[in-house]
Amino acid sequence: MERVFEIIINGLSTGAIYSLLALGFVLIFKSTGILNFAQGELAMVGAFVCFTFASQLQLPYLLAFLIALGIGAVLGAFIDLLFFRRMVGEPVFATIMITVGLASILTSAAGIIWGHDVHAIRAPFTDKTLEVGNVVLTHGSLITVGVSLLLFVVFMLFFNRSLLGVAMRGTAEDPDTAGLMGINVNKIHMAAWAIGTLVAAVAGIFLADQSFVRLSMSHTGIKAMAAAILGGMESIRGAVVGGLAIGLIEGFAANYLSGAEVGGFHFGDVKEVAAFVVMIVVLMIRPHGIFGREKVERV
Amino acid sequence: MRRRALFLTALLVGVSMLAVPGAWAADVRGVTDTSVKIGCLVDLSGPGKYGGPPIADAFRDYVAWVNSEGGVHGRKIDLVVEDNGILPNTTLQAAKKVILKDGVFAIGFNLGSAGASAILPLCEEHKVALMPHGANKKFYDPGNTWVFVPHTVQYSMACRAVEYIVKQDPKAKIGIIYQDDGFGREGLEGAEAAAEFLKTKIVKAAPYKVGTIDFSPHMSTMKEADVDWILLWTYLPQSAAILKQKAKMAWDVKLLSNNTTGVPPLFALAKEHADGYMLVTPYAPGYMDLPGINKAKEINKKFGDYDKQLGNPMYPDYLYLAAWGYATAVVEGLRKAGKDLTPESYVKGLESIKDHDMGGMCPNITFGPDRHVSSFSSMILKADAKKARFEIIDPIEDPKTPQR
Amino acid sequence: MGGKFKTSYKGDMALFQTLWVKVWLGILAAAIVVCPQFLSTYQISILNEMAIAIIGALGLNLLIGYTGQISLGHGAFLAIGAYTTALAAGELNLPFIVTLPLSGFMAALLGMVVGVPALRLKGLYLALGTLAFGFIVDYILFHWDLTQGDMGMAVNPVQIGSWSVQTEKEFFYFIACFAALATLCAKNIARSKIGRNFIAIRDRDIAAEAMGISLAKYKIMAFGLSSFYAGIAGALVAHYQKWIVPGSFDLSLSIAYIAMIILGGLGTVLGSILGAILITGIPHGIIYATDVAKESYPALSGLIVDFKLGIFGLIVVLALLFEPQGLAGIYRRAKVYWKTWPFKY
Repeated sequence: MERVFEIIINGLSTGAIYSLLALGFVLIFKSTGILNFAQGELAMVGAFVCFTFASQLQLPYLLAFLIALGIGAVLGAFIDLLFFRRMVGEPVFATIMITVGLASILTSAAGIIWGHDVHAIRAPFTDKTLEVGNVVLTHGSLITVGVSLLLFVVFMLFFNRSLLGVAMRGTAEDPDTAGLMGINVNKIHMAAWAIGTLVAAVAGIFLADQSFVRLSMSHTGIKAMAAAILGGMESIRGAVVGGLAIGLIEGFAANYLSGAEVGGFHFGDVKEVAAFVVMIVVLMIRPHGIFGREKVERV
Repeated sequence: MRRRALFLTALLVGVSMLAVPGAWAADVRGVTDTSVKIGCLVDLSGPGKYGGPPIADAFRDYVAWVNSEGGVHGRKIDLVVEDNGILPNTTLQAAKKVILKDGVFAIGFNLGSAGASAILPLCEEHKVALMPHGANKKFYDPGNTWVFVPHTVQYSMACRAVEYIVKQDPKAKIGIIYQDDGFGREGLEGAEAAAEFLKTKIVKAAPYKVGTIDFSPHMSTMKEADVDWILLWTYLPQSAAILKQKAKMAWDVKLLSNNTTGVPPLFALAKEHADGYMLVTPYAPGYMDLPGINKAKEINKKFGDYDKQLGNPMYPDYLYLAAWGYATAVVEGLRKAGKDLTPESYVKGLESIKDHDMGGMCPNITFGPDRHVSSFSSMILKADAKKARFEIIDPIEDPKTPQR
Repeated sequence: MGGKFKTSYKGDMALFQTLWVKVWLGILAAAIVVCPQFLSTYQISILNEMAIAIIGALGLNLLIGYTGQISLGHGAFLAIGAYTTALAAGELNLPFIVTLPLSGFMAALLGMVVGVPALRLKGLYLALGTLAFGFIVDYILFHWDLTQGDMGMAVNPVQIGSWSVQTEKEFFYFIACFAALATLCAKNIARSKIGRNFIAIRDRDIAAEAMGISLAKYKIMAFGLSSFYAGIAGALVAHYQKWIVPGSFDLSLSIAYIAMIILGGLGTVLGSILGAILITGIPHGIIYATDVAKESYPALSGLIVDFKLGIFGLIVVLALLFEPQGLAGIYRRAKVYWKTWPFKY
C-alpha cells in the first residue's frame, strides 16, 4: 500500500511537468490552431537560459527564473513574427512541418551555444524534502504541482473572463471573422506564442530541477503531446488532467511491467513507450480526447 | 511507351552485367614508404560529445610523440580524426568517408557499440582493422579477423564488480539498474554470469531507456526488493540522477557503477552525494603517481595543452587514458607487423603483442590468434567528494568467472 | 503560352510528352550507365545512398504530396522492410527475389493497418498517430530477441542465381534499376485514375467523396503504396549495408524524408527525385566542407558539426516559407520564363 502511495506521489510530480508542457501546447493550439512540435525544445531553451543566469552568472535564483521567463516570452513572440506571421491560413501540414523544423533548429542552436554537457541548477528548494508518513516528498515536486495548478486556474480565468482571452478563442475559431470583428489577429497570435513559450520555460526549469539541464530533455515534449491529446487538444482542464494521468500511467507501468519478459520479448523500460501507446489508443477510440469537443466540418 | 521503358531497364541491366569490377589496387590502402594513415572515429557532436575531444587529444599526442621519434619502420603516422556522432548511421557515414575517401589503413578507435556493429561489414569488406570502444563481448567472442578490443569489456567488468561485492559481504542482496541497450544488457549478463558462478543471485534488475532521467520507479523497485548493493550500468547523467534520487529517499544503499561514469563532472552534478560512489574500471585515476600515467603526462606536456588537459582537475582524464591504451595497441601492432605492412601482416602483428607493459595505468595488453581482447581485468575505485576524485580501493585483478 | 498544345486526351496523358523529353531521358540513362567508370568508390557509394533515398521519397510523396495524408513514421516502414528481408533471408533462408517483394508487402500490410485509423484522423491527429507508431516500432525492434536489439543484426548479401552483388559499382547498377523502375511506377500511378483520386482527396476530401471516390479505399491504398515503396527501400538499405540497427530508422530519418519531398516539391515525381538527391548529398557536402575548413580553422569544425543537426530543419522551414512548391516549382517557373522570354507570359 505504501508502495502504491509512493508511485502515485512520484507519478504526480512527473505528471505535473507533463501538465505544464501540455498547457503550453494547448495555449498555442487554442489560439493559433498550430500544434507546436517544438514545445519540448522551447522548454529546454528556457532551462538553459535559467542555468546561464543562475549558475554561470551567479544571479539569485528567483531573478534568473524571472529573466528566463521574460526571455522565453520574447523568444515566443519572435518565433511568431519570423515564422508564423506569413503562415496564417496555410494548410496544417505546412505549419506542423515548420514547428518540426523549428525543433531541430533550436536543438542545433542550443548545441552551439551551450554545448552537449549536462549541468545542474542549484535552486533554493533543491534537495529539500518533507516527510509525510513514510513517504518522502521533495519541495521541488510540491512547487511544480502547485505552480501547474496555479497556472491552470489563471488560464481558466483568462480564457473565460478576460477580453484578450475571449479574443484568443475567437481567433482560433475563425481568424477571418475575428479580423472582421476588429480583433488584431496578428497581435493575438503573437501573445499566444509569447505565453505558450513562457509556460514552456517554466516547465523546462522545473524539469531541470527534477533532473538536469541538457539538450535531450526536449524529448519530454513529445510525451507531453500524449498528455495534451488525452485531455483534448483544446481543453486547459484536459491538459492538466492528461498530464497527471500520463505521469501516473508511466509510474505504474514502470513499477509493474518494466523488465518483464514474454516469449523472447523483453519489456525493457515500459515507461518510455507507455505515453505513445496511450496516444494511439486515445486517437483510435476518442480522437478529440476526454474533454475535447468533436469538430463538425462544414463544406 | 511501356515497351520502351522495359527496353531501357533491360539495357541498364545488360550494361551492369558487362561492367567489370574495378581494377584491383596493387598498393595497400593508406600505406606508403613514409606514412601510414590511421582513422579515429569519435564524437564531436551528439550525445557523446563530451567523450570525443579527450580521446582525440590522446591520439594526437601519442602520434606526435611516435612521429617525433621517427615513426614506425620509417613511416610517420597520419592521423584522421572524424566525427561519428555516436548514432549508427552517422558512424557508418564517417567510416565510409575515412575508408573510401581518405583511405585509412586501420581504424584505431570507434566510440559507440551500435555504431561499431554497423560498420563491421564495411571494415571486413575493405580489410580494415577496427578497434571499437564501448566494446562488447560479441566483438571478440566469437569475433572477426579484423576486430581487436584493446580494453576490458563491460562483461568482464560486471563480473569483477559482483565478485568484489560478494567478497565484501557474502550475503549481500544485489540489484542492478541498467541501460536498455547493448552496453547495459552486457553489464546485466556479466553480473548474472558472475552471480551464478558464485552461487548467488541478482535479486532485481530494472532497465531504463537511453536518456531517461527520472529514476523514482527504478529506485522504488530496488527498495521494494530491499537490496544492499545496486550495480549501475548507466551513463554519467543517469548515475548523477540516481545519486540524487538516493539522497532524496534518504536510503543508505551502496552503489557500484561502471567505468564510463568515472569522470570529474560527476562531482559537479551530484556534489556531496557522490561520496562513497564506487565504480569498476580498467584505468587508474589520472592524478596517481604511476609510471604509465607519468609518461602520458610528460608527452601531454610536450605535445598537447597540459594545463587544459591532464593538468586540469576537471578534465575527463579517464577518456584520455583509455584512448592512450588504444593508441598504444595501434602503434605496437605496426611495430610488430614489420616493414612489409599489409592488412594481413598487421593482424599478425597485433596478435603477437604479448604482455605489453602499460606502467600500472591499466592492465597490460595481450592479444593472440584466438584472443582479440587485450585484457579481462579491472580495479575498483571509490569517490571522495571532498577531494572531488576517485581512489583505488581494490587493485587490478582478473575476474574468476570464466570469460568465454 | 508557348510550347506544345495537346489536341487529345491521349497526348495529355502521355508518359513522355515530347521528343525532347525522350532525348534527355536517353542522355540521362547513358550518363547513369557510364558515370561509375569515372567516379571513385566513395562517390559511387554516395550515388547508391541517393538512389535508395529516391525510392523512399517517391513513396512518401505519394502519401503526403498526392494524397495529403501526413506521416511522421516513414522511417518505421523502412525499418519493417529492412528487418523483414533480414529475417526472411537469415532465419528462413529465402532467396533475395522472394525476400525483396516480401519486405514490400509486409510494410504495405502494416501501412494499411496504420491507414485504417487514418480514416477517422485528419491533419495533426494523423501526424501524432504516425509519430507514436514510429516510436512503438522502434521500441519493438529494441526489445525483441529476434531482432537482436540495438546492436543490430547481420544481413545476407544479395544473391540472384549465381550472381552476387558485392562491390559498390555492382550495387550502383543494381539499385539504379530499382530506382528507375520505382520512378516509372510512381509516374504511372500519378497519371492514372488512382493518382487523380489521390489528388482529389488531398484537395478536398468531402468534395471527393461527394463525387463518388471511396475515401476509405483510396486512403488505405495510399498508405499501402507508400509503405510498399518504403519497405523496398528499407530492404535495399539492409542488403547494401549488410548490417542493420534500429537506431538507423528513427524519427530523424522520417524527418529527412519529409525534408526531401518538401525541398523537392510536394506532389511531383521530379520533386521526389531532386529532393532525395539533394538531402542525401548535403551531409556529404558538409563533410567535404569541414575537411577543407578543418585545415585552416580547426575550431570551426565543432560548430559545423552542430549545424549539421539543424540543417534539415532549416531547409524544411525555409522551403515552406519561401518556396512551398520546392525545386520542382522553381524548375517549372524557370522553364516557363525561358520559353516565353522576353515576355512575362
